[in-house]
Amino acid sequence: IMTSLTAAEQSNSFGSMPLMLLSNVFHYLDQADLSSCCQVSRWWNQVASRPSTWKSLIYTMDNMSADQAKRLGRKICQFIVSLTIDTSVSAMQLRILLKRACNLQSFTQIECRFSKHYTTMIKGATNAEILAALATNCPRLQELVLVESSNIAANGLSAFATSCPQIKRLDVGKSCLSPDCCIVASQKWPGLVSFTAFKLKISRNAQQLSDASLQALAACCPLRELMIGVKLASIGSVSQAILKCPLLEKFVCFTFEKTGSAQDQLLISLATACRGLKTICLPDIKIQTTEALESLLVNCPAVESTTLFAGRQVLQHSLQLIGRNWKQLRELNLTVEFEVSANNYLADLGTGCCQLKQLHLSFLAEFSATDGLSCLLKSCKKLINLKLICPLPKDSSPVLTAIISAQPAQVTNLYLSVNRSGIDASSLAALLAGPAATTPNLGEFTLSRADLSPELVSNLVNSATGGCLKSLQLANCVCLTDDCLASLGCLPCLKEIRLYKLKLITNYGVLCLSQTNAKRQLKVLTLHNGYLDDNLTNVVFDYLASFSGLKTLELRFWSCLTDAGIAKLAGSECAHNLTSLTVAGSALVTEEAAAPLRQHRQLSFQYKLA
Amino acid sequence: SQLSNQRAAMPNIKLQSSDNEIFEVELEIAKQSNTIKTMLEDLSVSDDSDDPVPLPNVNAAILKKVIAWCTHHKDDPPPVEEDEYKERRTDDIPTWDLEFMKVDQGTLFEIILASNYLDIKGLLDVACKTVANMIKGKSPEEIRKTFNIKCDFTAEELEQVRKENEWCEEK
Repeated sequence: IMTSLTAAEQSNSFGSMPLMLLSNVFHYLDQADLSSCCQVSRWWNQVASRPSTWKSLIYTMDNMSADQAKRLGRKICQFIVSLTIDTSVSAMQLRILLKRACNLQSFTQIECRFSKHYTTMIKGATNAEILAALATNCPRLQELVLVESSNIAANGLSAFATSCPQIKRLDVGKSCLSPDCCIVASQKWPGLVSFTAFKLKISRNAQQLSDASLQALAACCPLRELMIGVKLASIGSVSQAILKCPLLEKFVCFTFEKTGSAQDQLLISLATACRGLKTICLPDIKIQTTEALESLLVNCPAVESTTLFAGRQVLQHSLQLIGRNWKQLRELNLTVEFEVSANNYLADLGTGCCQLKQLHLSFLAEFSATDGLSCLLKSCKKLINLKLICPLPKDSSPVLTAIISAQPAQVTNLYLSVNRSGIDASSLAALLAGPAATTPNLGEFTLSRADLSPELVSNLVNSATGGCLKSLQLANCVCLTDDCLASLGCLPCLKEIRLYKLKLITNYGVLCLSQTNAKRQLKVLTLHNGYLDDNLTNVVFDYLASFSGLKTLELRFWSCLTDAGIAKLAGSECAHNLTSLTVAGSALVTEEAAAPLRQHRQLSFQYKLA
Repeated sequence: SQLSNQRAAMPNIKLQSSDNEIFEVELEIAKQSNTIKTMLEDLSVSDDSDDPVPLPNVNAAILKKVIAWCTHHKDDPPPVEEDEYKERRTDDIPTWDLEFMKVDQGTLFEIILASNYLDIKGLLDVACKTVANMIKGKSPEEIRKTFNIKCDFTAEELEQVRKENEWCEEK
């Protein structure tokens, strides 16, 4: 074929790219881009219109109107295997959409990214309506994920379960389940392998998951994934239920309460029954004894990802045990309440868990095993995400320098908050001016309580690290001045700046930033603790106005911010590309403030008082 | 003797491009290509054989690029078999690969053909993502311009296709 083309046509080869390769490219495109591709040429239309290209569909307020959904019903629906909608999709739209979707296997609802105020006007489908529509049209459904917070009644669920008997995965989101729902689920879905109900704040709704319903699920369904939020008082019952889930691979449990005791029973149950666990996430269930942790470590050797909270009575020797037993760990999020002083234990953790890609370590008590930490970091050569919260003594800069230089080169996401009194200047200098190889891949960098002087900022800007930095987050850096923002604005790749609680930054800082290439380049900007002059002139919006590339703007705790300020923003060049605006903790701003911004297009406006 | 020791540790093979240029590559690097791997197994070509493996579909310039990519990625974990709904992200291309893909369109196209022929999944994926990124956010006319594609629809057909696809236009 190639030889029959003229030389000019050969250079246009993408126009005649083979089917499999072109559909490989199309695989990465969304509906809008695919529809453009259909209109390019006959061949592209042929390839982009293949059913397999359209298997999954996302239908949200962002990308489809009701009328479009109607047309969709005619053309594509029978191809769809997976459907995602947001909470703005109405019951009527959903019925149209599902009318021919007889092959649907997976239904996912996601949160609408527009404000509540806006969505109440359009009224999305309730859970009862969704279940009814699915029951009528989609007998092959296997996966149901809801976020909507309306009630699910047992009889509604029962009718749905009779029509859709093949459900394997159920996530009820924030919905309130009537007590009998789980009993229905356990009776009707013998193939249920995944159950999720933890997004709800338990304290508000005590009967969310009764002990009896959990027992029923555990006894009747071959659960592999269980993700729940329960009251602390129910932990004993959960421990009982767990004993009936030998197939469990993923277990997530929140309690929303930090205090209490006797939860070690849960760990013992997991260790006894669930030998195949790969993911254990217990972020707020405090482990009381080393023995409980050890039994989990020894009996569940296949764990790859874990979030644990070790209490004060656990011995630091357990760090070593984690390293010895969980060699396949990819993700470790560990908060420890006990004192850590023995270097070799931490070092052994690193030697054992050398496959780690993510490490979040939070030491709440006295920490002095700095050499151990440094060894640990040297062992974990595959780390990408590193977060350290670690109370080092005040004069620890050489140690900190050692830690920093030990962190693996491919870390792309670094969060440092290592000293109660702040990261001092000399350590930071070591980080920034250090050998170019220290952090050449760093894209996201968060510093909390760091002593960022203007000189250090200029070091950062000129370092190899600075050269590739895409996202910078600074919090509580008390020395950071307005001039520093002018330097940071010169970072060549910087797309995101998030600034929190920086006492010395004023309006002038925003002006400085707006005079650098950040003006065009910046896509995300967060400003915390308003830099407004107190006489409400909103002059800062004149400076914000010139950020022409900005897509996301967050203004947090601007106590003097008013609707007039937002209106000023709406009239500026900055409003042009803005797709998301968050205003939090500004008592004078009302929901209506965003109305002028919405005139031209849809804009996500998050508004929180607290 | 040091050299021969090294060779014993990492055997090399020779690859021959369509324009008869010979490249000597570490066996482990070459084996990232499933095509070459299978060829070696099927033909039971022994490792110490000096005969070059002929690759009649890849010219020297492209083969050189492919070898460079495979060399840089030789320590990558083997690609996992993805399920049907594999991720659609295109913003996760590593920096080195982004630089590597900064080539003219003809070369990019040939890299895709070569990685497909040689069956190197990682390279094919990253090249297709690169092309997808060139399409994203563009109108049909802009896409035609970008890839120099001729619109071969008749006016009626174009109108028809436009109607069919109206429903998912958001831009």
